Amino acid sequence: MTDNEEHAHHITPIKVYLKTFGILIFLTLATVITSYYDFGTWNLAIALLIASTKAILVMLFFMQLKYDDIGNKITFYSSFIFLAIFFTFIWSDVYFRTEVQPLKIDAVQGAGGGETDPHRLNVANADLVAKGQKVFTVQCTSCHGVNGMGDGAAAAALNPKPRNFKSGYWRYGGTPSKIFRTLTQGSPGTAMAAFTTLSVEDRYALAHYVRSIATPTPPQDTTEDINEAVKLVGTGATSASQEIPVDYAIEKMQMNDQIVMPQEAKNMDHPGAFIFKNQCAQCHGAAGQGAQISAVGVNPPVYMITMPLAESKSGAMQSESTFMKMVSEGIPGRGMPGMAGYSPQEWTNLYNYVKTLRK
Amino acid sequence: MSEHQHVIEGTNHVIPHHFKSGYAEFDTTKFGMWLFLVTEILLFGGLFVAYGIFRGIYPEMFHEAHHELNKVMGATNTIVLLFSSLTMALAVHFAQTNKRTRSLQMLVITFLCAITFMVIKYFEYKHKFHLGIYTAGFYKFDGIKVDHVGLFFSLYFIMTGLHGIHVLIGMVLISWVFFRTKRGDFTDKYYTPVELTGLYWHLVDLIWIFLFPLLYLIG
Repeated sequence: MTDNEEHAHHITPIKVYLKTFGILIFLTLATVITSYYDFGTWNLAIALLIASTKAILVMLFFMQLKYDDIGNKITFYSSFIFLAIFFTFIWSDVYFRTEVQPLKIDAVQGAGGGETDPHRLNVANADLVAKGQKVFTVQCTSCHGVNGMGDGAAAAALNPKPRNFKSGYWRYGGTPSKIFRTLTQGSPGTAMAAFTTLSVEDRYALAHYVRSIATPTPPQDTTEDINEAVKLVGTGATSASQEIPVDYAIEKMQMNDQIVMPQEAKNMDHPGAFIFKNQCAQCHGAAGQGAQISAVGVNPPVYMITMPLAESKSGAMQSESTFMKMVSEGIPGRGMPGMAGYSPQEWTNLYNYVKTLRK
Repeated sequence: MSEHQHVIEGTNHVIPHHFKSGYAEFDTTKFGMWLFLVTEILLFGGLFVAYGIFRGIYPEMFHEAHHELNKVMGATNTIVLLFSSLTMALAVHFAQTNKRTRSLQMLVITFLCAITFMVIKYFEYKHKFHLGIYTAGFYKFDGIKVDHVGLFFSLYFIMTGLHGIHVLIGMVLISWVFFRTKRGDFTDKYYTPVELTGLYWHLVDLIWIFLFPLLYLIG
């Protein structure tokens, strides 16, 4: 064949293998013996030094990398370089990342600064609404549209779509404090960010303007509602990036399963029970009682609370066709996936089965 | 057989037509094996990184938990595996020098070492399961009084378990080259499968070289 043959087929003498083996056994005994003595922080260094020496011997002589082609050498050694990069970055991230506290409660933040003072949140008046409109024009129109109808330029790319405030529907409630909450904490799973970069007053004004779109003649603010809003001050993420600290995530990951499903499945002989068991029970509970599910792996971290189907007032149960539409399309951004591929009979069975779960 | 097919002398190995020589085939195949071994290093690397991070966070927990592992069994297994690496290397050596009987003997010894390794591992696992030591989430043993101890055993079971699967795969490969050697498929001109199985087996050894001190000795 070619003159490369000699180089490719290096034959290591048996003596070299035996010597290598001898040193490996010696090093194994050395590492076991040193493990009986405590050298403090040096324990790890000594063990790793011995293990690395052994590994190098295995690579060079047993795997014959010493005599191998330069390409193979670079290839194999590069894996350790990549491993070192991997380790260095993860390690530095865990140990040197700046603390980011989730849901940190502190004083009034934003442009105004100063202490939390309920009196700074004025009772609704025309000035407040006008101020809110100015903020809205700058901050919100790109998604929610100039008239707040959810038809801004960016809306085309968003799923779920931005809220049309004229629809009068509020996911988190429509009182000023509830809208203030959405502005402060965002709406996880959607493009609606936490607008904590706006001052408290601006957010409160914005809440009133947004409400005025839905309800042209809104009721007067109540003291309770203002107090609710004050409680929310400072609860939003402190930056728009919605980071979570690594140690917080690690703590969460180590916690035992948080799915709360104390109840037994019901009516298992019903024809719809099988689909429910396989497709729905994991989140909604074996008996549809709903569950609190820790979803820290997603960003932002949320506790997804599924609907207790048993007591559901949801419109989904109004009729079979509504049920089928909502369940097949899913609820984008709320964790409810769409399901497809069932026959009309299977939909009927599933609907009827869910009905049996209701009280 | 057409005149374009090249068979390596003394074997029935046909050099695929896209290689210009047996050397080119050997070189390419071996490079492929090294690439595969790189992915193996990175596969285990992820677990070693997880080990490093958690050990940094809970050093006392690792220290307490590692006493539960049997050093003597771990050390025995290390020696068994190192010895099997030697016999595997010798099996390749004898294949290279056309000593088929010797090569077969070495492969058998390597295989027996692998069985010994797995039997010792079986007794270790059995003892842990008996005590209720499982991965985090299923951990039931209350003999170690530190928090998060399940984490150590999650790492222990995943790392040694994945390694054990590699040993089992290695046993299949060793039996395969044993039967092919016996059938007379290999000579000093063609023994690529023996050599590549050897590389794989040494990698299994290489990973254990790190697993043993990190899990059994220093925790």
